Amino acid sequence: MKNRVRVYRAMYNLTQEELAHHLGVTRQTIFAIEKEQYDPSLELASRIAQLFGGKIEDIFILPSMVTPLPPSEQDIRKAEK
Amino acid sequence: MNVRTYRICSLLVILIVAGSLYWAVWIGNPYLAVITLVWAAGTLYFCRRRVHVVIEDERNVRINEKAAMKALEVFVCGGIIAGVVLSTISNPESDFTQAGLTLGIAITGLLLLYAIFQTHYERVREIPDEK
Repeated sequence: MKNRVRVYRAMYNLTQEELAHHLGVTRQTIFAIEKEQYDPSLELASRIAQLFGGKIEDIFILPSMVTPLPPSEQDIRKAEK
Repeated sequence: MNVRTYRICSLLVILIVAGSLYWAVWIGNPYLAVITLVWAAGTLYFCRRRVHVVIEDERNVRINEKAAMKALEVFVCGGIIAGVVLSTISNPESDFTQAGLTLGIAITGLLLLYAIFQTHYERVREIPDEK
């Protein structure tokens, strides 16, 4: 999965070691994420997004877009009311 | 203690344990082997507690899972082939036949353990259905 961790890290002027320390992971994990060799868990991705004050989808980019489902009947009824 | 010191300590402990186990088998003293293993576990636990940096995270856990699974596959496949070959090529009274049977029992035990743990974790990590 493509990501902008390196860009955000540069924006905050952090080293890989410092970012790893903030997130409670090893420097090798940050290196692997930046090289797109490792996709972090949802928890770690959320922590990264939280640390940089952004959303997960701003930092991690899905390789192919998923078509959103059409609104459910319940949503349509709510909108009609 | 930093990671490098911890790794050096672990390596030293492994070398001492290997040497002691070899010596224990050589002189035929099982107590020496047990004492060494207890000492090694204690020393590694003590060293691990003194490390104040992250030495294992989710990536390491995933790597360990993959490595363990691959090691299991290779051992089981290789062991089955070796067991069958050893059991069939020689006569029933030879040591090779005994070795083949022992290998077969070890592999069966390993697969049984795998099945037990797999069933256990399937149940533990079962996600309740919202509906």
